[in-house]
Amino acid sequence: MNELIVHFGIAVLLFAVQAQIVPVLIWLERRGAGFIQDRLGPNRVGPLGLFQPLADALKLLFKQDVVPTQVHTLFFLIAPAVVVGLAAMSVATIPFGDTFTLMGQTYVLQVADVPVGLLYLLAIGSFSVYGIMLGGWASSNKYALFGAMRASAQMISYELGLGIGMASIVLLYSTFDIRDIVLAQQAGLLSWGIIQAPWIFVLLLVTIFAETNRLPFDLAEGEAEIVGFHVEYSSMKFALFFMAEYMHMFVGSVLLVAFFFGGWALPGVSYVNLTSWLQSFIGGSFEIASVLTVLLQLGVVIAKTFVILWIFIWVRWSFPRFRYDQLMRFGWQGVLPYAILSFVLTAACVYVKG
Amino acid sequence: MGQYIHLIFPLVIGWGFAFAVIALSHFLGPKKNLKTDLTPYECGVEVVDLPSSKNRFDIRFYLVAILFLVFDLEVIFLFPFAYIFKSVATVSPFLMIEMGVFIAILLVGLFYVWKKDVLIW
Repeated sequence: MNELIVHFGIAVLLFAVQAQIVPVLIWLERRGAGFIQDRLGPNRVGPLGLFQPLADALKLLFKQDVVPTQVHTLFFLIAPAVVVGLAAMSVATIPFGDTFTLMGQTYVLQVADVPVGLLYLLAIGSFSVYGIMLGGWASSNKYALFGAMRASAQMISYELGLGIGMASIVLLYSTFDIRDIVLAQQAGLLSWGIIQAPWIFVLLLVTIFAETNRLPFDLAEGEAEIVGFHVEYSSMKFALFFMAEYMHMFVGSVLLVAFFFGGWALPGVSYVNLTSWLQSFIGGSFEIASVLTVLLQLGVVIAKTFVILWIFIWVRWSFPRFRYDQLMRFGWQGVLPYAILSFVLTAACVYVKG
Repeated sequence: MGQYIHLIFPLVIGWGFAFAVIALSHFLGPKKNLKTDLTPYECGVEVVDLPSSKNRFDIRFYLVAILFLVFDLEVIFLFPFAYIFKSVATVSPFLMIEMGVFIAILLVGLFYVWKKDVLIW
């Protein structure tokens, strides 16, 4: 029973982290846009405009929740919940920290330490097409339907690259357990995935961009000109779609950190030594020291994640959007052959190294 | 089972959060429901018809879906190979050749649809 409570606590903590990343990321994106375009960005609400996303969320909360008469009410209602629910579910198998001890039992900072974590992630990731398709179809609006078609065609096209990229990761580490993948990278900088197989990093970065519908792949909903699948949505339902996009960005970045940047690993830092140092420093129990260490590891993972998230923002404000034919051509004639090539290359590398 | 049961927590928390927020905005927001609010959003133009099963859409969406099914099934077969590769490859190089044939067939299929201009939008 205790074990269930602790894991529920971990799940709540990680969901809180994921949900809190969203406003921070929105702030970072708008300030980053200002920085890149040589202007200020939001700076009125709170210090440096930090409370701007909060104000936006409050505004959306008090807006009218319009349900047009032509929609399929049930599906129209659950579509945003599907999108956010799936985004929340996808962090379940990603490790954010190593083991810690609480009340004599050892836990890992991970919602569920399952041996098929990577397959679970791929399955949940594929489901997010349903949320978009459901939202676009249930709106009973021609433009929403077309937007949903565009978005799902794009997502399934790039999912092939993502799937083969994941298979290459499995090939490299020969495990489905993401925790084992991170543990395999604890032996210093040279054991990190980015040194071992940088070509998979390029592949996964591109496909995650496309899967999260970020620029230059934001054909699904381009805020400025294209009418997207959520044209009929208003108020908090609309906000949930955007929240899901940012949550997916966070999940994708954490995943890249776990696969290629060693998760919580810092070169030259031994967490075992750190725990015993902390224990002697606070002069007390091992349990508190181990919990503090794990929280520190969580901080390291999030710090690395923000570096990747900054790449997302940087690219968004640096590149123009693809045309739809370019997008599909790039997906099928560029990313897919490259993915197969990277799989073969990884196999050859693993074979040569033995 | 063990750890698998914990997968239910994010499901409950995530979906609970989403429905709670939707309900909250439903109660907090105004409910004017003007006549124009309740029609499909088409930038103020009179609505001609709603999408239905009679409406047509581009055949290429369908082709992409079919191609996705085929290639995604192939991807599934890559996973067991990838999982055992490190332990078996040094013992039996035959596995390598076998997978090479499989990937070659995959590439031939891709080459075929490429030349058939299915991928051109």
